[in-house]
Amino acid sequence: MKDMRHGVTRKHFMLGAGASTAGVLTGLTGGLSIRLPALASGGPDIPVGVMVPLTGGGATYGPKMLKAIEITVDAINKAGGPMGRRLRIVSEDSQTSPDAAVTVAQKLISLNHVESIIGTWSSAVTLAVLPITTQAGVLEMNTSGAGDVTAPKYRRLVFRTQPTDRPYALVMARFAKKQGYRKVSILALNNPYALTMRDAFAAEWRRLGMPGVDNVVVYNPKAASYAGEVQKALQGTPDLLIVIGYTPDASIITKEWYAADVKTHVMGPGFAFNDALVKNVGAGVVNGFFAVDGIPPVTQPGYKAFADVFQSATGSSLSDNFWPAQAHDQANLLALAMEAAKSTAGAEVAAKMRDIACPPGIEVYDFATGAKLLREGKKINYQGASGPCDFDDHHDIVSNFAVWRLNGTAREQLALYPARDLT
Amino acid sequence: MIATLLQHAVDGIVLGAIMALPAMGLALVWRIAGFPHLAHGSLMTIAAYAAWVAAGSWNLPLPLAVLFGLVISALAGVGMHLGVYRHLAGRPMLNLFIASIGVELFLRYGIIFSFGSDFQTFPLPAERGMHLGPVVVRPLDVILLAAAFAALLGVWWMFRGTQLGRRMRAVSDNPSLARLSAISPARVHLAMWVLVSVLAGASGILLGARDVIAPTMGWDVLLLAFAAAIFGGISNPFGAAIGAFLMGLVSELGILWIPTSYEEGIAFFLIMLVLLVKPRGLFGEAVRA
Repeated sequence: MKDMRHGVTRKHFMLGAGASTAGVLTGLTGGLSIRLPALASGGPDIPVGVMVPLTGGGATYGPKMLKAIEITVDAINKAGGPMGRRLRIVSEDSQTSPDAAVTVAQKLISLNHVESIIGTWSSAVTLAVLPITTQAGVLEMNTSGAGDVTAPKYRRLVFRTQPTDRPYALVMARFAKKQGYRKVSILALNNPYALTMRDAFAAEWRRLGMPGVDNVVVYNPKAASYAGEVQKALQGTPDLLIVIGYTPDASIITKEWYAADVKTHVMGPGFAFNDALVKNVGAGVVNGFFAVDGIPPVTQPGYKAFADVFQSATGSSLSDNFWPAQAHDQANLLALAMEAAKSTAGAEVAAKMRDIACPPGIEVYDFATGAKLLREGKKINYQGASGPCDFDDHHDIVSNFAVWRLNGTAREQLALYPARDLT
Repeated sequence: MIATLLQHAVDGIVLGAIMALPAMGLALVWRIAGFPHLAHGSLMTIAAYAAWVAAGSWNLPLPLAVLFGLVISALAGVGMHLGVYRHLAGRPMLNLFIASIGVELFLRYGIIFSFGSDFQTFPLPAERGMHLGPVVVRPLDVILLAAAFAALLGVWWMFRGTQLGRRMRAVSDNPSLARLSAISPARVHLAMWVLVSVLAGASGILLGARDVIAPTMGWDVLLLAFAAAIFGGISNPFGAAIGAFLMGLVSELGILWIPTSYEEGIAFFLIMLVLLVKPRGLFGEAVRA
């Protein structure tokens, strides 16, 4: 027993000593990395907070967003970086959890002294972070669709590269009417994004002169069973069931829907009705599901400029989902706005964001070209991999939308909705 | 309306079955080891992951994969007992309670470290429900119900009809007296941990097969199972199981009239009312001093 206690003490000592050595070393290297480039270029590194979901519900998407940001920041630094300074990524896991995100944001701001945070995913996370970043004067870029994300109290310092939840709902309602569906039920996850989309759908459905939505069932995340919720939504056998959630819960709901063996068709956002869902429930089960999503601008130069680089670095296609392209654009937009502002301060960078992102101006697809033109005093218009990134007065973007029908692992585009009709 | 009521009643019984197995285990641990076991959920999760690895990566036939999952959860339960809880026996209940939170977190993050936090699914095709008169039942739910009832009967028989059961009751009622009668509490504890781990593991594998496998899947059910056990009477494993079925029924029938997002709230409200009248739960026996 005595020996054991000694062992423990020694272990603790070693751990403590190890930790403090590591701390001193980190401090030293941190200090070095701040000073060394200063000799070579325009100033110390610029720390940029990156907060993508590496664990939790968003873990399917976060790692590839981080990869996209790393590749992009690498290219930015190779081109000299904004104002001749290198960007340094400080990455923290949001855990797809608002609680964890708050802690992480505080850490990034007070410990790492970041003046901008990019990559927050899911509206619940972004909405938890925004009061903190706004108060600290930190610029925030995210991939979240809930309306409140760009509410007036946050707007000055926040930009989103994700279309709002509204166009999803508009497309769902218009497509459902076109298909001749009359009885519609909604199953919505109990979180800001899904509830926004649910309300926007109901409003548009009424505007189109359709009878009220038959049944709206809100479900909680992580329930032991969704059998009751699905039964309730399918009561009276609606023509169409709209599932507004993420892939894990959509998978469970799909299994329950399939077991219920009804004629009801199913529709949902494309980021939930994705390849992972098909893999989870089987290709035969999702045949005929409708997926609604923004169209990646696969034919545009901004997309092409990044697609091959991303494909060779990760082995997966940039068109799999919307988010790595958005993460790439956020890094480029941030660096270009810093260059235009000749500053890293959140408010000053934010004030230049629309100047470099919106027309008129020379269209650019990467930091190197854009920064060169900015230094020559030219006006630029960044065209991203996720779309034109033209932020409107609310700092929102619009995107072209489409409806796809899932046929096994393939998907067939059925209808196209141009961005101008979706505001 | 009758068909809808029946359908929701069936869903409620299935939900009850998911909670009944861990609830019985929680009651057994409470009765014999004397503490609320917060790491019970990770026994469910571990079994599901083990069976998933066996079926998905090693391509073992499903029954073998399930067996493997159960063995792993039994080993995990026995490991917790021998590695942690046994050393804290006789200390205040709070020590064991806190230790079990530590075990839960350790195992949860171990799973996230090993398999990632992404969710997984068994290589099972989605299944059509069977039409039984006006109600539709998933074949997997029939297996779940069968497993729950078999476990209920099995534990009943073991408790009432076997020497091991008598010893368990003896140890739980009075450990010193049991020792005087040449009953080894150590063996009884060991047997109890194997039993509750297998019960929890079975429920974890079935839950993973009908929904998805995720690092917190067991933890997410644990609060409900605890509530069910307290509702039925945590000192009585059968009361705990009946509590689980009642709670499942109340939740699923309740959402016919109340918004679904309050489903759990209604169940917990009802439990609160029952406990105000019957503090030991519906079927609780006198708790030992």
